[in-house]
Amino acid sequence: MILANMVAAVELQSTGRLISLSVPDLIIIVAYFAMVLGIGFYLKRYATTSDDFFMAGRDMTAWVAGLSFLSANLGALELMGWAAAAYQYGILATHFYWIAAFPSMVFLGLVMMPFYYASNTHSVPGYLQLRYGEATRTLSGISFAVMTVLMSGINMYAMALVMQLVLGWNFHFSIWVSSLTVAIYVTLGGLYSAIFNEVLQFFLIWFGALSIPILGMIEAGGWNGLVAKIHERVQGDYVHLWAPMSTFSGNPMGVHWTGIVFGLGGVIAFGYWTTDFLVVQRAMAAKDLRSARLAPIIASYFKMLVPAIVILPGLLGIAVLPFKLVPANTVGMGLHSYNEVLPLMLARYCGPGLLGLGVTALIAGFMSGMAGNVSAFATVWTYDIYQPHIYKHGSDKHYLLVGRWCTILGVIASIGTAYLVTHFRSIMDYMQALVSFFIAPLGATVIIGMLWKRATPKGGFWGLLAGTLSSVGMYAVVTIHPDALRYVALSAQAKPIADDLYRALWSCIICIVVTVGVSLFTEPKPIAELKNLVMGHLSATDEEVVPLYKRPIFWAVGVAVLFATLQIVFW
Amino acid sequence: MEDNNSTLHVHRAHHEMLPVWFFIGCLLLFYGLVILFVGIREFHHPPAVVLAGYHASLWGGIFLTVFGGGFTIHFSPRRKRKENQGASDQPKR
Repeated sequence: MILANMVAAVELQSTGRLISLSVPDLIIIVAYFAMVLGIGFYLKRYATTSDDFFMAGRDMTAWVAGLSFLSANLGALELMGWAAAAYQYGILATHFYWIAAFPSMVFLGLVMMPFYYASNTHSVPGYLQLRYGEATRTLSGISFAVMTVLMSGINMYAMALVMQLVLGWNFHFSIWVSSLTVAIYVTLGGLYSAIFNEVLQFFLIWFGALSIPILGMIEAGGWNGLVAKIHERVQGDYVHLWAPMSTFSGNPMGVHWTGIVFGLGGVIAFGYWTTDFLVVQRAMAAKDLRSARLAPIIASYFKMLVPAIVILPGLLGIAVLPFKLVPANTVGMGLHSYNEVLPLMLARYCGPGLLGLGVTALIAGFMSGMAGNVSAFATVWTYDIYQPHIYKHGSDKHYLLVGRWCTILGVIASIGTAYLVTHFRSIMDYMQALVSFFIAPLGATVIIGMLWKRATPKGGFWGLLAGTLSSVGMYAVVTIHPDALRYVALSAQAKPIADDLYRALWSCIICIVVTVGVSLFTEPKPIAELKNLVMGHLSATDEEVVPLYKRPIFWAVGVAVLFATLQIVFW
Repeated sequence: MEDNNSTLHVHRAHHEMLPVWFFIGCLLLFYGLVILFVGIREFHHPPAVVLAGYHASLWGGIFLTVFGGGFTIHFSPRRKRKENQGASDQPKR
């Protein structure tokens, strides 16, 4: 939804540019491209086996894996989109960073990661194969591979449009330069390159965007001044997290707290953070089980802090910009859309140099997002589709070569998708929805498989299929008859964003019911085949004697305290 | 307690690889120097931005130079080689 709105705004306002770059800015951008290519060439010598190429040798420290885990989800469209959402909905947008991250990331680290890691699989579909069988793996693997490469193309298209608007760059130039760069460095270094560049991107995004909240808070007169200015300019509660959520109509988002807690925090977040291979792959690349468990927990701390550089600029935009931003579909001459709030704030405070750093952070966000998609695609394609279905008994060198070719083909397919979207823009709306169809039921299928040994291969397959199809069905009904939203979201006052949350909740419930129902009437796998796959049958642990402060549970309690404190402060 | 991690498929053949922090340090150090130069120049040519009097480029440049320089030195291959050399020179107990 956010992506589609952003693109609509850019297309409506394709004349002129928001930011003009000077020589120091261009030096900073060129240095970034030189560095990522240099890293790719340097890492080529270390990507000599398929395990190196697809799993970064399982050699990453907890910090590298953790920051990469977070950065895989910290793309430029994400930053610009949620800054826009903060301008539109106020601090409520923070729910997508706090409750939509902390519980699921900690659950992944404490409960699920031992199964992923100890089962010694290369991917989430690979785990499904071990737990449920080939049919579930194939369903999940093909859908993930197709969605990933198409999403990469859609992001590439959106990036080229944003660069056109913000910097005035040529559309084709942006697509080809960024995709060739990504193709070179991922083909050379595989997941090593992707992870190195994601960690680099993490620092660039923080340092590139940090000047906005610092200078913005100075201009607004601190938090109290910011709140006072927002109250002067807009009606409604834009500065409280939970207080306005007791009714659908009491907040700008049009969502009830049950949708946020159960739909977003309970289903969508769990589905995304615990089973989307794009992010889980980073934690699986850790050097040992304790590091793999710590990675998402470390990431959750930084996720808690991201609103400072994403949500706060949106709120500051309401308070200090001398003009009002408008919805994407009403942008006209001289008007700016919500989606432009982050570049506008960047241009407001940053002179040459800092502006280049901010723009580089956006470019890095786009490119590492593309690299993450392409590297995850190459892994799933090679291990979960090519190896089991096309060529079973190849050598390690053969699969390494296939992975490199897959990377190139993934980039070419992404470029093709980007150009396809220029002619058929509605594809983008459907693709966004299509991705959302799989997240909630996949999360439920994997979690049931890990926690309940009675879940059977047939139960897992039919549960996943039923959850996905029910999600498609609800989407189709609401698209054809918008009034049906009142039944999906259980309120006539619900707004479109509530549709996503409640649809995910229902599809998850349907997936659970079908999985449990079918499992009770079908044959379970023998216990011997469930070793390292199900709770109670885990042989590998990380319970070696380490100080308390090095244990995942210690840091999980810390982030829980941080989460609770933030909820109370901004209640 | 027995360490069962040995059953996991983990190999660590790349310890000689330069850490990602070194690359980050180099890039941020370069950025810091460029932005610091711009920040000093802004005393004579102030940029047309809000709160230009706070000299964000100068402070940002100093911060990035110190941060990037610290990372570059701390994670430099030369320092690591010296540490390894020192460790191997220690008499073994």
